[in-house]
Amino acid sequence: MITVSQAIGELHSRRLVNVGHACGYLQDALESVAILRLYQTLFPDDYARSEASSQLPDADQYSEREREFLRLVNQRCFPVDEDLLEAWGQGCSEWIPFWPTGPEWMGDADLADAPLAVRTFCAMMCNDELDDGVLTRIGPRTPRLKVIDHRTHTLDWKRFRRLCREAGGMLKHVPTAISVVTNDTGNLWIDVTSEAMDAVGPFEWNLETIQALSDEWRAAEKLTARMNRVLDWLEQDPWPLARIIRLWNRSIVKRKKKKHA
Amino acid sequence: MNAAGDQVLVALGAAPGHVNPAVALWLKLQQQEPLSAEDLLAMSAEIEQAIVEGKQEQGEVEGALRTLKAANPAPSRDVPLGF
Repeated sequence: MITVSQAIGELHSRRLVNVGHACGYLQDALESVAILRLYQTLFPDDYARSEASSQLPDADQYSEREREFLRLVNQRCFPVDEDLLEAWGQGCSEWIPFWPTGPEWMGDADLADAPLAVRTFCAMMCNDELDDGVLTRIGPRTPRLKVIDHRTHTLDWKRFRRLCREAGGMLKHVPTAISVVTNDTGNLWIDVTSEAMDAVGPFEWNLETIQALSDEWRAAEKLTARMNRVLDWLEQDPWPLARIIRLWNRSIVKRKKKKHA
Repeated sequence: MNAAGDQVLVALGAAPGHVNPAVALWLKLQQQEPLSAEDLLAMSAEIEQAIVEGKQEQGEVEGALRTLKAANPAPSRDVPLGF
C-alpha cells in the first residue's frame, strides 16, 4: 500500500502534458548533451577512448568530458579561454566561449612603450602626426607623416598596396601588417578587441559555427605571422619605416569630385 | 444526420487511439528518469525525430480543428441524448 500523497504524486507524474511542453522538455534534453554530441561527431576516436566522466558536477559547470572537448577544440580548431579549460571558477555557457585574440594597440591610449613600427602604423590609420621623438628614432631625414584633410584628400589603399608590392622584400607585407596592428583585416579573431566584444556573437555550439571559427582562426594565424615578421624586421632596424612613410604619403590622393546628375 | 456526416463519425470512432510522438517520448523519458548524458546521447536521434513529428502532428490537428470550427452548421435529424 502507498499513502494518499504518494498516490497523488504518482498520478501527477503520469499526467499528460501538452505538445508544447513535451517538445520543450525534449529540446532541453537535447541541448544538455549538445557539446557531447559535437565531441562525438568532431573527434569520434578521442570520444571513444575517453574515460572522462560525462556526469555534470552541478547544473552550472561543464562535465569533465565536456572540458576535454573544449581542450581538443583549443588544440585543433581555435583558442578557448584558458580559464574555462582549467575550470577557474567559470560556469558553463550555452554559447561558444569566444574571446578576443587580436592586438590591442588601437584601444591603447598610451603607445609610448609600443614598438616604433606599431606607433607608426597606428598613426597612419588614425591620421595622426608622428612626434619628433619617433621620427628621430627612425632615423635622419625621416619624412613627416602627412595628415590627411579628408574633405579634400583620401588615402588610396590600393595604390599603397601596389607601391609596397613593387618595392618587394618585406615591404610587400607591410599593408597586411598595418591591417593586423590596427585590427582592420576583416578577420573576426583579429579585428574584435575586448572593447568590441559585445558587438559580435554569441556563437552557437554547432558544426557550421565551429568550422567557420576554425577557418577564420587559420587565416588569422597566417596574418598574425606575417605581421610578426614585419615587426621583427623593423625592430632590428627601423630605418625602412622612413620609406614606408614616403610610400604612404605618395598614396594620399585628391578626392574625386562627385558627379552631379 | 445525413449519410456523409455519419461516415465522418464512423471514421472518427474507428480511428485508433494515438498519443502525439513528442508527448509519448516525454512520458517514456519521465518513467526512465534519472537519465544519464550517455542515455540521452543514445536517444538523441529518436528525440529529434519526436520533436519534428510531434510539432508536425500538432500543426495538422490544429488545422483540422480550424476547419471544423469554420464548417457551416447543419441541423441534425435526431435529438441528441440529454437535451
